[in-house]
Amino acid sequence: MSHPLFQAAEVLDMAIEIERMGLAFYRGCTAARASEQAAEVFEFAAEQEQQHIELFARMKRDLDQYTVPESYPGETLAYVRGLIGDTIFATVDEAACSAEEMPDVDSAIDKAVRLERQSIAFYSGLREVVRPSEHDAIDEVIAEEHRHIRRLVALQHELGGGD
Amino acid sequence: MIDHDAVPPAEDITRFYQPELARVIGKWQMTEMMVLLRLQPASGERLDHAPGQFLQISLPGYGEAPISFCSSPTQTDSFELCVQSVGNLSEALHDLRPGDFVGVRGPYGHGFPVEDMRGRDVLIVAGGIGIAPLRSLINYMADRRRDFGRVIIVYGARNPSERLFVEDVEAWDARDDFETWFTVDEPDETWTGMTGVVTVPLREVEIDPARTTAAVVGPPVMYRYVAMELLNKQMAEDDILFSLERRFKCGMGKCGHCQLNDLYVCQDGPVFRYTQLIGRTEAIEVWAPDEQKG
Repeated sequence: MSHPLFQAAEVLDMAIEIERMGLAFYRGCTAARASEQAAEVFEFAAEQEQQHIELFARMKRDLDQYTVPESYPGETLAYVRGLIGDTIFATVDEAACSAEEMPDVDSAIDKAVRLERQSIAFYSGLREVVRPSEHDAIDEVIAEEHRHIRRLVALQHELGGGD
Repeated sequence: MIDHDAVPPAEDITRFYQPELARVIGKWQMTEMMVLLRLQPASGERLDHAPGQFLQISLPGYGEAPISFCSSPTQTDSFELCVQSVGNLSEALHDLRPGDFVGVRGPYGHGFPVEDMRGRDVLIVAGGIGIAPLRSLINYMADRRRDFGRVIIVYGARNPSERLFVEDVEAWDARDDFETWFTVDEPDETWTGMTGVVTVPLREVEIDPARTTAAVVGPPVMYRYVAMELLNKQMAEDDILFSLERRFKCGMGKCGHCQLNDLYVCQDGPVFRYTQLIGRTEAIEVWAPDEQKG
């Protein structure tokens, strides 16, 4: 695609929504695990998502923003969820339910890493429809997700899991 | 581009603003906010509109407003308008009864290029009240079915109670030669269909991008998300038609309300090819121009 469709600020809004889904997933994992060790892992991961929400919100303040008028409150968010739902989770509830279905900690971390990678693919696709002058912001979001994956994989190894 | 030669000389301007009388011959309350009016020109002359065009409807003492035709031009003895209750004029239009008269002038604007669409597959993407002008096109294609390839209708409403033209929708759904996808953003206990915004079913639709033209009308928020889905399907930008009807006002390019950089939506549109809008910095619902600020 050669013409920009979205502003970086809008992609950051999408990123914040994805992080909220991630937060719900990790909190769901924490609730579904009895072991103290597992709880620590998922609380850490949830904390990372929370930090991303705050970071992306800060980044957004420095970017150009305009608002397309909504025909009803929450319309933009509905389209954002329609866009990310196919890639990640459609709703926070779906994220939480998915967490409950994880059979063990190792599987949950595998799933989390897959989701982070899907998020990166999603942001990489959107980068193509954001004007080049704002690519730095999208690159920073992608870099943050890569860092998160590395931390998750390191934790998985510490717990004796992973490939 | 505007055909400035088409603008009448000064002495003819008043004639250009002169409405003709039309009689209300039918009225249906479609939803709490939407009424369908069936009108007949008092002169008995046909308006000969094209799908996607609009006219100006007026009531003395209340004013005048542009509204898209929602009936097919193949319906020759009358025409229909879908009126949303949003102000004094539209509320007065809601109070009309069969036998009452209104003023009309038009049709105006460039509608859907049905001649260029002949022989091609047509993908209709309607969001909310965007189904009204698209109903004109859909029913036109229904009446000229052999002139078109596949007809695919994707229609999304906020909730089941805000779906418009339910009888038409059911009739389209019942046809073997139409492919239909309906969704609502906010389902209730009565809804058994798809859930989500219009892009959710649109993603599932398979098309041949080389032979498909998309006609898209909906709320401003919808356009870029739909554009992304259509471009992901490898559609050419020139084959994507957007109607920006919300922008028009006087219908003659005089008031400037609808100006979109060097375009007047009421005269050059309301239907545009996507390629016509790229580069116009004020078309913020369609793309993300670099110059647009705060």
